[in-house]
Amino acid sequence: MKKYIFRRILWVIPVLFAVATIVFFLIHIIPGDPVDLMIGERALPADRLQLAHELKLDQPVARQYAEYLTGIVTGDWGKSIFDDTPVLELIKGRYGATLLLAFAAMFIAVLIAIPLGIFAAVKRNSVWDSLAMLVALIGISIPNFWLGPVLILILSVHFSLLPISGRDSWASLILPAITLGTALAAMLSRMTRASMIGELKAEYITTARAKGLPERKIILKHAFKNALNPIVTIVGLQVGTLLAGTIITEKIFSWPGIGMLLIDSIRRRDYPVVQGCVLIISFAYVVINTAVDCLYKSFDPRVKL
Amino acid sequence: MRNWIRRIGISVIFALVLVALFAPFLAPHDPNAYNLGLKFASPHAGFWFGNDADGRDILSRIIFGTRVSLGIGVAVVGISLVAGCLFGLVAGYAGGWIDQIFLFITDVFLAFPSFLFALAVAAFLEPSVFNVIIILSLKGWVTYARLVRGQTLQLKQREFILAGRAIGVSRWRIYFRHLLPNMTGPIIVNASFGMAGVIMIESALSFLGLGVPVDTPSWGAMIDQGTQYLLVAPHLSIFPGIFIMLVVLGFNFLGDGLRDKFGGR
Repeated sequence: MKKYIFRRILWVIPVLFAVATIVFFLIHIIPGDPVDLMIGERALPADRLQLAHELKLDQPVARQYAEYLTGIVTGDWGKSIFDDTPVLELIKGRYGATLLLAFAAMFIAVLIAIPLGIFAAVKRNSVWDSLAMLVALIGISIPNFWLGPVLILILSVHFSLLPISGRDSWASLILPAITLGTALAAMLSRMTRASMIGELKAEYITTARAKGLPERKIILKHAFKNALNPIVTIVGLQVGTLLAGTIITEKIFSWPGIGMLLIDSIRRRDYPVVQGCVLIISFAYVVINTAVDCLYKSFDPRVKL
Repeated sequence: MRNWIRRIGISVIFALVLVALFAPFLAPHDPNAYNLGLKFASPHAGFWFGNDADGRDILSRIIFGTRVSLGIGVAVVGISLVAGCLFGLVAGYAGGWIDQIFLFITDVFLAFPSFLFALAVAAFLEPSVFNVIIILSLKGWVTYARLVRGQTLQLKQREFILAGRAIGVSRWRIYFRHLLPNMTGPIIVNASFGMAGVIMIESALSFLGLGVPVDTPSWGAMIDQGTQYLLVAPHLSIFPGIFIMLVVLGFNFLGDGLRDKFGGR
């Protein structure tokens, strides 16, 4: 077991290294001069030279790359072109909001998906099952950049129930969390259903029924408990995907997280910040996925390593 | 019921393909014709989905948008499939260090959430249909490659492959005549879900102004324009959203039905 976890961690380090390398080369795929794009061709030559110098674009690529990698490890992720704030400081000011949104979305998704999935599995092959899974498929297919505005239109504008955007109170968390959580809820309810159907077919369920246990107890205490493991894994693996999903949701609701920082920085062509945001989200994604994978394998005694 | 789901999926996709093919005949107006007198007009006779902020006919733009969405979807899934099958077959069949390098490279791509990767690359390039296709294919091949590699690992131990090798059938012939035909089921299932995913990401990129150029009729870009005038004219974003949902739902239905038929994923 320890050996497996050790191997996984050893594998992740070069992956993170390669991710950083790809993010580094992003600025070099710009056709033409990145400095032109950032401050415009009509800027003073002195300003252009200074920016190129600050971004280290006046140095050989190999040296830029070496300094960039050292910077990542030592906590120097560069500075914003827009207002000179260090990139890491900008990210520090924003990540709390993103995590809050991601967890709220996950909470809503679990709240909807687990009962729906169990219900569909218990009523398997009935009209209710088909209906529940139809709703789930529709949930997966709704683009969140459409769902968000529609929710605003109905709940904020028409019924004036919730704030339209920003982060002023707990109420302003509800709409973004629903927008972000819908697709996850849909996916999770399908997983729950499949996992529950697998367990309900098992022999210990027949035994429990033969003993005369009440159906409620069989479903919740016996089957669901065993069905939970793959569900928890999926929830864990989706944390990373949710982090990426927050980008659009944050833009729609002006939620002050990393996603909005990323979009704003793309608009302003503030490339060091763009690189920082991409880096932090992918790092989080890789680390979370690896951790979930290791945890899953250590929790389930049936998984042989 | 399951069969019905597949049939609905196929019908929706078939209908949308027809719309894309015959767009110039079906569209009631020129999708790019400005008509400032009809700015923000609600749905009315002759303009069944209303008019946008520049007075352009929303229905006609949606009809031409079908071409953009499906076209990009087909191109990206096509490129990804060819590259993915090729790399997956070679890595799985060769094994050893080639397979290890393959695993590492695919792991690096999988380290980026798909949408983040597309966004990150698009942020540094000019918006164009060609760039969108390249950006989405750049990561798209990985899923198919991993799938094909896994299938190849299983199949290459089977007797018919061993027998083929023993009588000296060439490597490429084993790839394409013996291995690939035995894994079409899961590949088709994945391609169907892949179309849904690609169309969704393309619309999201265009929604952020990073996908297709501004004037190209794209559903995502139409929603973007619509959200700016959400309170004045909600129909600007409602209708294109319904069409994105329809086409994504169609491919998800199809994938679901096919999975029940072939198994896989």
